[in-house]
Amino acid sequence: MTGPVRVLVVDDQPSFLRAAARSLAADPALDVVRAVGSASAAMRALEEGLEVDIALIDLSMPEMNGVEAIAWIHRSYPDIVSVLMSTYEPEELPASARFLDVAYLRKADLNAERVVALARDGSLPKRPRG
Amino acid sequence: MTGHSRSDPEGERLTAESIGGDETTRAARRRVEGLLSANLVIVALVLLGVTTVQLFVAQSGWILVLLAFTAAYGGTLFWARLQNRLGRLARAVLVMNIAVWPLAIVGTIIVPEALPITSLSGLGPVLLAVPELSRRAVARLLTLSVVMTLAITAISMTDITHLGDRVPELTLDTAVLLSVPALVGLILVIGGQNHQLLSDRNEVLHSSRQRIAEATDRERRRIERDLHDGAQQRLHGALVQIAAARRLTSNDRAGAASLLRDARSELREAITELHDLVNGVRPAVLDEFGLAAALRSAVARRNPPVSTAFRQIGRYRPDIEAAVWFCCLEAMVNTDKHVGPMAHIGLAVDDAGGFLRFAVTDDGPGFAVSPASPMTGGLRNMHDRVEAVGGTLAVTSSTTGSRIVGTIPLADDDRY
Repeated sequence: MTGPVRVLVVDDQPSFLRAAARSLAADPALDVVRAVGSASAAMRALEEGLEVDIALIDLSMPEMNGVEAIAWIHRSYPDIVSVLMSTYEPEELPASARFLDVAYLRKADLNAERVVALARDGSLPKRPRG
Repeated sequence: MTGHSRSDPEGERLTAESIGGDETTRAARRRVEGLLSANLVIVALVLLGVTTVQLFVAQSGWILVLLAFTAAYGGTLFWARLQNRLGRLARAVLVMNIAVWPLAIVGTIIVPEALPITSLSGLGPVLLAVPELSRRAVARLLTLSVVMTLAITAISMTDITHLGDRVPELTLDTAVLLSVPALVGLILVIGGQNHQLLSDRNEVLHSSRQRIAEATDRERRRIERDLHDGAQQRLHGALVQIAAARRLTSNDRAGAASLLRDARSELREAITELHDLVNGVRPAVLDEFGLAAALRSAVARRNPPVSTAFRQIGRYRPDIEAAVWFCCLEAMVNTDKHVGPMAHIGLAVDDAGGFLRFAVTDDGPGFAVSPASPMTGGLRNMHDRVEAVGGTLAVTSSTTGSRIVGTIPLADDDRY
């Protein structure tokens, strides 16, 4: 992978979406290509040809939650590294999220270095910790 | 204190139907009304019978005394009926209990043969009191009944008028034979009604408790959701921005400063949201300074201002303060929602005559309300909250405004 990591952020909470996008965009290693408020908006963007290396997706969203959105991305765009985010501790996650084969990131732990590491090595960590 | 644009927030300007308490209270009033009406018919029959005796059977000054006492008793029953119609059920029952004994004593003195009637006549009212008055009051009335029954039994053993000698035996026997089974039947009916009334109240209480538990659960979920969607997201956002700014400080001071500004803004928003959330649950000012201060604080920023009138407000049991506070706020929120933010709202709370009373009025176009229609939504929540502390809620509405009045009886240990 050359150039900055292309990041898609998906969260229905505008305050966190704005803060995450701004914080990640401040790091030259990352390029926040889109920050959207719903899974359907993310799917639309990907279907329209948006190129993304890593998708940071909130767990709790109306209509389609993070687990469902990640399942769809895995099927449709297997090259995109999907990362599930929420405010929960790993052990508090619902079963559907706990056994999903993707990385999990507490929102409090979100930072550019970690996103870069996850994007460069999608296997880090494959399962939510805890 | 906020605005005083309306001098009489409780003004009697509304002409409307009223929901006065719950269905079981209305049922209790109806039965007291029925018994009072039946008693008044009996009084009329007694007056007719005694007058007939006086005119055609045996003239006596004693009969005139009996007539006077019976008429006075009838007048008292009228007054009790008025009290019942004004919603003072307990007072009406108490009056019936006390008023019956002077007539029973005089009746027994004048006609000792009427002892079976006079001794039974006091039992109906005391049974009627069982579900309506406090345990202490009922115990006192029962004691009164025992003492009075003993007294009239003793009185019946002396015959100072000898009226029975002058009235044909058949007349007295017929009166006793007809009255005693009727009175016993009436007492049994009242006993049965007591059982039904208490069962109904128990059911209402059970439903109300269930609704309160559900409302509490809903409220907890709302708080959880508000915390998760609001302050928690802002705090996480601020944390992420501060962490990012920390990495930038050495090589991009302007970028770091911008992130920190955003983080500060998120933190401020989070504080405001937490403050509003806490105030929405139970404001600290309510615990620390009481109802009047909490309500003044709640309406302080409203424009047009809320007309407030707080009289003799002290400190009360926390659940009473919370119930009044909740209902007043709920009523005002409902007004803002249904009438609009420009509605003139009156808020009055007073502590008088052993009752803590609140009234929220507005000048909106009113809403459909009738004794037959069940309360729903916010009104039902208010009703349940007031009922949980032993009070009643009355709602009146007309095309020129609405009024919600809660009345909570206060015991000595309800005041802090």
